Amino acid sequence: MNRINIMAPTRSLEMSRYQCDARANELYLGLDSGAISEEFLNFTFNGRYNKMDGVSCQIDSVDDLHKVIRYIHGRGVKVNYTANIHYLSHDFQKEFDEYIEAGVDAGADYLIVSNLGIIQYLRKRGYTLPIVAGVFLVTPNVEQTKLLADLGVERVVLPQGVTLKEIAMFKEKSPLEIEMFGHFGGGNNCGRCMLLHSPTINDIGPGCRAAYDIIIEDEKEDEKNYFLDAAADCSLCTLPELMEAGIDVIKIVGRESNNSFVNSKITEFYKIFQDYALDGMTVPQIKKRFMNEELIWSSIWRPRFCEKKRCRFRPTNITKSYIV
Amino acid sequence: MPSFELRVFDYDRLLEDAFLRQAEKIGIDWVNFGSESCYLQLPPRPLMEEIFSRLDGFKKKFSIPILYESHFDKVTELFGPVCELADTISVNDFGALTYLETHFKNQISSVSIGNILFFSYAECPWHDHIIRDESERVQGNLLTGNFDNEWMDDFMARYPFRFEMEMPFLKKLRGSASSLKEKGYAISFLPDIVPVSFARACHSSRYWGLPVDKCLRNCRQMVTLSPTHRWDFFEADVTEIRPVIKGQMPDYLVWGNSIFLKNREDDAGLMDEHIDKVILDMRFYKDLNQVAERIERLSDSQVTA
Repeated sequence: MNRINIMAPTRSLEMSRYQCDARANELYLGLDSGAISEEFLNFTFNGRYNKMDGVSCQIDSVDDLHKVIRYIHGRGVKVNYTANIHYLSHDFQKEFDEYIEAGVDAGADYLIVSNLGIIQYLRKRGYTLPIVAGVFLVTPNVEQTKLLADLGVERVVLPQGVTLKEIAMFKEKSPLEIEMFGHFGGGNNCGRCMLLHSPTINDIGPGCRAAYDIIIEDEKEDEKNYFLDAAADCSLCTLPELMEAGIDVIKIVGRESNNSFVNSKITEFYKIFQDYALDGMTVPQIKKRFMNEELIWSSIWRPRFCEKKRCRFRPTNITKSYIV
Repeated sequence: MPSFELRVFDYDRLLEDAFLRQAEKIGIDWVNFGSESCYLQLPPRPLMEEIFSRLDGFKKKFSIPILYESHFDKVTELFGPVCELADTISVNDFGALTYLETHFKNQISSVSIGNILFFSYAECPWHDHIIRDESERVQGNLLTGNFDNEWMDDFMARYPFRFEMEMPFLKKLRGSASSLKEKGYAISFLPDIVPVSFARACHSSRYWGLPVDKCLRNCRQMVTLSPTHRWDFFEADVTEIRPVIKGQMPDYLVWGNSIFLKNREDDAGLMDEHIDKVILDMRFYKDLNQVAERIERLSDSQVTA
């Protein structure tokens, strides 16, 4: 049973402190595009806007980037720098180069990239930092990981919806390190989903979790139905199996989280769960320990995820609808 | 004049001589079957071969869905016969494309980039809201297709195929279409629907409580979704969408694991000289008479122009 690195989000020194206290092994972050050019408002070179609902999702400035990465490294934690924009016009090459240089200069350990053309470009340009092929690339099969290896990628983030059995297949046959989202995320193929969050209009939220009237052949059949909700939010109970499968990194969503401390508690849960699993405790024993000792689990989550049956790898209404 | 491709999901129709002869008569040049999103929708091999054998007189395209690792070997077994029988194969992930290149580049010269591989922010139903305050240059970047840049040109040069690009017909993507045409892509526009999102999960099966592995093709029934409540990430709950916003949000059309918008754009520009093909989706036409009317309107619009 191998220990899995936990990758947690950060967007500030404070959040980095919380995540490092929670014993994250790696943090991922991005730089506000306004630090590169005043032209950019919410457009960024990574997978989050500069701000979501008024909450900053990025490190504010190049100076702060240096400070934050210095701090994170001082805590013995590695840094993944997000450059995972879906696609980019060549017109922005100068600004994109500056963005990448900012992360490299500040000491990032990995680059997260989600476009094959950009991956190839970065290698040709001579960047030697390890590249992580992000979830927006949607890598559903081992054959694609071989292509990624050929392009000089070292790690791949698997898409939502992969099964435990498939993770084992990836580990067995792929030349790359394997990372997956363990907590939160969308219900569709996130890299190809155009039900985008709006950074400015609250009413336009993630479509996969929204509620709809259902109309079939011009007749309303149902209302307030979560028809598209196939989001699986939690893999805690499956950690022992993921550790057996040899997965390398589990990632927590949350650069846009409005409460960085609460987000860091999720990181901590994944660390504690692993510790207990390596001590030989069973999942029911670990959950019982959580109920008794981890008050934030019982007071905020109650346990929420278990109640709502959003297990990523257990048979639920959602996972049973996967096309397998 | 662009050619016309008919995308057919009901395989029974492709076994009807009368259907195929009428399709030929009304000007359909290509017939496309298979699936972009679900391997369970693919016909079994004997049926696939039977259908191909009936498509004399047409150019033939077979669509391969995005291939998760569990399905990869099962579906790639079909690549050999498909490459022999089809004029072009449409792929929806880079693993399948690379596999084709490695094993079948001498058997098929033409590959189509399907709706899951090609996308643009222009497909987001509310992209105007998202980008309205950005500079013109940023807006121009976002409203292009994901293959339309020099970095992807360099990347795609590794493949020996003649590529077709399947794109929704959106006025904002016409510039990209023209640019991709200059780069050597054949351009195919879909005027009926705009692809928005695809999932591993079959939403239709979940709604009807039917098991996916015993699929009864419940995805053939179109479901229209009208948004009423938005998800509030921080509250972990839904909130009713304000009427003023709701009125601006379109309905979605869902088949199984695939989410689309009805394309509301008029046909102006659809028959421009840099368009190679118009793909008509049979799900939007009651019968071939309606398809014929559409083709006639499009042809007239080109004459008028």
